[in-house]
Amino acid sequence: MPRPEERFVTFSIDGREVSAPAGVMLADGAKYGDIEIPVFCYEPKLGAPVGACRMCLVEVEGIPKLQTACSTPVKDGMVVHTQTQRVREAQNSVVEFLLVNHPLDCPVCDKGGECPLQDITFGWGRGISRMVEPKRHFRKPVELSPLIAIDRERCILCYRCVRFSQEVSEDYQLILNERGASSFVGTFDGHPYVAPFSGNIVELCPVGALTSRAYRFRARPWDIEGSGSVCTHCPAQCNVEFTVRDERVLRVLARDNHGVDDGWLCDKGRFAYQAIHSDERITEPLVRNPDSGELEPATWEYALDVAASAIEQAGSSVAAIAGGTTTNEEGFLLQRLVRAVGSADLDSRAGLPPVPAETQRALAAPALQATIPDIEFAHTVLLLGTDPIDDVASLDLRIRKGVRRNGVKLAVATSRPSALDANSRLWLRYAPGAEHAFVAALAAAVGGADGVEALCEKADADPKAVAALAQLLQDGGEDVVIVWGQRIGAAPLPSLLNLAAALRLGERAGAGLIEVPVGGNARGLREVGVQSNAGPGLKDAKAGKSAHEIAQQAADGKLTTLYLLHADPVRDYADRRLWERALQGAEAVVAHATLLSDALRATATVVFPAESYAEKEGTIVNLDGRVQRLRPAIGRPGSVRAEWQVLADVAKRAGHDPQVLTGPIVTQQVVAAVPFYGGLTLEEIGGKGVRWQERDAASAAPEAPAGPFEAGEPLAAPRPNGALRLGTYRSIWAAPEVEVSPALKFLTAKQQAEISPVDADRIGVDNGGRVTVSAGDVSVLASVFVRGNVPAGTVFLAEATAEQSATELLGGEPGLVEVRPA
Amino acid sequence: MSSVLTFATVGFAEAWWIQIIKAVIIFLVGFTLVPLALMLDRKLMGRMQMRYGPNRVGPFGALQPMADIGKLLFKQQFRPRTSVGFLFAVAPAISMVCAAGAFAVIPFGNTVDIFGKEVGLYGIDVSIGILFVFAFSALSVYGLMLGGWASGSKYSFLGAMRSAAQLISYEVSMGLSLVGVVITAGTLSLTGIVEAQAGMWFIVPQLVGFLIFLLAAFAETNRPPFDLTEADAELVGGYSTEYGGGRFAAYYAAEYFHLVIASAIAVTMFFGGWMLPFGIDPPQWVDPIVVIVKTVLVVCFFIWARTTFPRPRYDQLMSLGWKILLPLATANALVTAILVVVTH
Amino acid sequence: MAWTPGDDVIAVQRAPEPGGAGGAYRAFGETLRGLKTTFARMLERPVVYQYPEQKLPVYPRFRGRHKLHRFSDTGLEKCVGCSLCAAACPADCIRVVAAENTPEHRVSAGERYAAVYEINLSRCIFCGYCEVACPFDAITMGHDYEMSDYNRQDLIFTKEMLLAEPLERTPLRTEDE
Repeated sequence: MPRPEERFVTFSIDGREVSAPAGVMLADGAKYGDIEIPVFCYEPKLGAPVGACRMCLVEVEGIPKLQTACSTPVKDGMVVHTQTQRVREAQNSVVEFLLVNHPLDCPVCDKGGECPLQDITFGWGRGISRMVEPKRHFRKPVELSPLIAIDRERCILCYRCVRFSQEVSEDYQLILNERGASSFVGTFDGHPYVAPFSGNIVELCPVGALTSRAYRFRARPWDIEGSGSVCTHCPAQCNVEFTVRDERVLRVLARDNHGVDDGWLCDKGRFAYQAIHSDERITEPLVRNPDSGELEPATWEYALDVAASAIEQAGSSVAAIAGGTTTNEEGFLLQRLVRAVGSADLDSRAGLPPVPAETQRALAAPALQATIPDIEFAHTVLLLGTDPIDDVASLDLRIRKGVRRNGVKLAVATSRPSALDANSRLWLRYAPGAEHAFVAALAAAVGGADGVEALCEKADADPKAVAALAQLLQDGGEDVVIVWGQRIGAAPLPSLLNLAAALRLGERAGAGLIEVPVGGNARGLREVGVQSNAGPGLKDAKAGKSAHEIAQQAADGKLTTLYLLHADPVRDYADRRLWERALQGAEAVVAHATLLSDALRATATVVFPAESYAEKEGTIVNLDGRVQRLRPAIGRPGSVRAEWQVLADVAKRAGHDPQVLTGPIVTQQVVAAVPFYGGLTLEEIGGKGVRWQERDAASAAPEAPAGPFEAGEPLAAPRPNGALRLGTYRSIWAAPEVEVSPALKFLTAKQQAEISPVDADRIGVDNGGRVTVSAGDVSVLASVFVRGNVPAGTVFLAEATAEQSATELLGGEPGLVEVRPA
Repeated sequence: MSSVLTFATVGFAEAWWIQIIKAVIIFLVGFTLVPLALMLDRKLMGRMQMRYGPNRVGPFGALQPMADIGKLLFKQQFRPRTSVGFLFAVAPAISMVCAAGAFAVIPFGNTVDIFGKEVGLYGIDVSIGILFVFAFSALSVYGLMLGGWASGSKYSFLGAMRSAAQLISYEVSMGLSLVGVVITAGTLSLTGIVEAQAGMWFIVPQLVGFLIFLLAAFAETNRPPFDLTEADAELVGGYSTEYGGGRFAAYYAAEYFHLVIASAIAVTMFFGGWMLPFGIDPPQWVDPIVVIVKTVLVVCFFIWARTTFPRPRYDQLMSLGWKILLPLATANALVTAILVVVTH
Repeated sequence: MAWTPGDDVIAVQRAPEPGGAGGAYRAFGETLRGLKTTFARMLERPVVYQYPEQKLPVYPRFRGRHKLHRFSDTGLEKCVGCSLCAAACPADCIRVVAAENTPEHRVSAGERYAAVYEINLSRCIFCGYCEVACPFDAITMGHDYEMSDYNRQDLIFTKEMLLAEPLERTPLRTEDE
């Protein structure tokens, strides 16, 4: 569905002529005339209004009864009164009525001071109550979930939380139990409300009924300061506001940015801030003592000298890997240093295979780039090889919103069952590892080429479903947005570009591709040149080795110094054993980290304490090219230094002074080095970010090669033959910051083998049973999760869990595994 | 030259060792009177303000001056970076020496016979007497001036400027106010002046002179209400702003020494020195006690006045000195001279 | 309308103009009157209190050092750590960090209690706004005014210090005083 056109209507409110967009509700339209209408239940983000609280009653001429401003759209020539005696009496009465059962324990309540009920009672209430009878009582406070406390006495039954659960996150868990004055919010059977987006209801609640357990009684609004920044935990890069008291982050709130997050946060973004103040954080440089062989705290001078001499001595045999939380500035300084010492062994692709510079430039073409809001208004959205709930959480809500409100036709094509299957017009599965064959088949089907059947055979996908998907993409409407995961690898990308060309995605503004990368700032890091085959601005550069090759070489003892900037390849990258050998094989390992992983503890030569995202200053790039700005909210703990400064100091001591004195100077250098950022300033980026494709400098984007692209011959997925195909995914909860956050700890991802009911029967296990999944001599233990949508002959394991990670089994090509009861 | 020397002859001379013993005794008496004046100042002022004054150290707080001096002496010596070191250190000493020097000529009695020796109960009886006192009190301006200037602070400097102008202005009136007494007595010698009051204290014939002397004495000793040089409300502390510890104690003691000397001069010139009224003629050993008691009473008056009157503005002070006191003192001297000539 | 003074006029008594023989005479007279005044005071008894031995009784509403209160029956703290006092404080000298009561560790009557309650008395201006703001009468201004210390750090009063009675009670003024 295309974006609605904005048309303005003029109406009169309290004697003022006000013009507002047609179709908006009176409660919003009144704001165009600087008139405030009090509301409790109305929240445009939640969709259609329900008019539950009756707070917004206004008088509309021509209608005998008072109308709810939240559910009355503005009309041309409408005459509205908000200040008449009738309206005032109605408002007074509604407030008095709401307070009949409200306990008024404001001094104890966490919402006190930032409570809409307090504000509206103060502004529109009677000031006294005639209520002398005893109030309704519930047991309180009750844990709605380990993250959320519910106080049912305070609830005014506005339905906001229930609507969020039913209509926004669509987990359908929250309902209103009982009737009348006995109504209360809860789950059907008292089960804890655990869902990936549950924390949003705390922010939605207009009273103190739903409060965060992590923030419980921590601070008052007058004790705190808000500090806007961006969350870097996943590529969604939701805009957040840190609540800071005494130099500590106590809470994370959503900072509404329609271009990025639509005002929602996932629970990881909302609660993983606790990792910032974890006791386990490194707050001083650690250097390995050559005598004892232990990592020991050291002075900055010494640590910088050790790191610099390791780089100086290694010369061109330095390799560097940047993790997803690295900012553009840090990545830029790192690649400058590595390229200055004569190496080109750089990677930021989370161990995934490198993409040729040509293909990258074609994918980065501004015309082919869809924006995140485009998902909401497209005719068709295709999810290709990614499940947003795990890879880019808040995009999940965006897709649901498009489907529910704008009739977006969703198609899901993944190897693993997706959380969005139920919302999709059509979903289909292909074998894990056969992405190339599947995308080639789809491109062939859309382009009307031959060989679709054969390719489907290779991908183990249903040819009819592929044909139906091709049909949907072609006939469903011109605006098609393909959301594809970086996890599909490099091989399918030429086919993907051919598919985009066949669908003419580059020709329409609302259509295009969106890549879901692995790692928070993966796009920005590639654009500033942290990769082996392209320099800053995706320009050609001396070719170097990718992460996997770096690991091979280090394991063979051919690489002397390995620089790990926020990267933990042993945990996160495929083939854990190879990386373990690589870290041991390298002569020196220099790392920046907030938490000391086991691998670093065992092998690192120097560990610099890294800043958390609440302390960082810099820029990052969102999925659709939106350059956003990180701003420091709190001071750095211990002796932690700004990382651009650490990188600059290391470079200076290694004899390659980058001439950097402040953070913004690095930003200037980045902007100067990347042509399509041309002239970008921190002021221009501001609080909401700016998409570089929408600026004049986008014309300096590298020229995209014209298609068609040589797709190559895809490999066929292996036949199971009694064994199972192994597919992997990375859970949103499989991260160190989840493990060290006390509030989120209970959600930490455990290894789980997702198998189809057919295979479960064959192996003889049931839900919760223990199995060993083995490939060759390597095996991991997992508990069984029988999932109906999993195609038979396939097992899915989680990557990057703290223990028993699937990366153990990924020793090269995705292959077959044996699953046996443990 | 010789005429000057002849003029400055000594009325009565003793052996050199007696001179030394006397000097020591007089110095001790003077320095006992200073803490006494200090104590009186605080206690009396306290009572006049309906409070007790210092009452914690010793009986009735009597040891308070000792405690103060002890505290000040043991404090660290320091000076501002902009000060002139040598002058900064020497200035309080000048003040002190000038004050003690003037005390030498104050007569506590006439010559007495002690163990067969004729001893004068004074440091020295110079024939120029009162001029000697004026000379020293004029020199003490240097102490203040140097201290103020050498401190290198604008408060000190302003205080010093004020003190120089004030002291020089009132020196004139003070001198002229005593001319009447000198003419009446016919001598400059202080013992001579005391003896001339055998019939009648000079306060009676020289009442106007006494009042002028009294006012001028307030200004000369920097006592409130004419303490414009210190004026803590406006100048922080005047010339002594930058001083602390022992040096400040020297200034402080010098100020009270001046008070005691001014009182003693008043006693000598106008209240008959060691003589008692109504023809009472006590034994000679009582004479010093009489002088000291009279002196203390005059000191009490100084304190009384201090408690009572607010400080005038600086221009008011100067106009009082030059426009009222000076003409009045001149007229007084003239009238006295005429009367003396006429009556003889 | 023009203003007519009517009966509001008050004749201001002015001192005679200075100057001349009369002025000098008056000045002399006034000087003596001043001396008389101070001398007369000297004959009266001093009115001051001998402070450390003799303490000035305060009025019941005197605003001295703050006190936190407990319920007399249960012994629980009245303060629930709502921070309203900190919000009301114009000198920003109150710091409250709240925490949650548990059945095993119950400190106050409500759900929350003040885990940290500090008043920086070196900043406090003793205006009593905290007392007015408190919804539970948990903090009141006491009568203790002896708070001087050798160390600024010691003037930050913690919850335990505020809950305890002052070592020496300040005498309270009786009705007829």
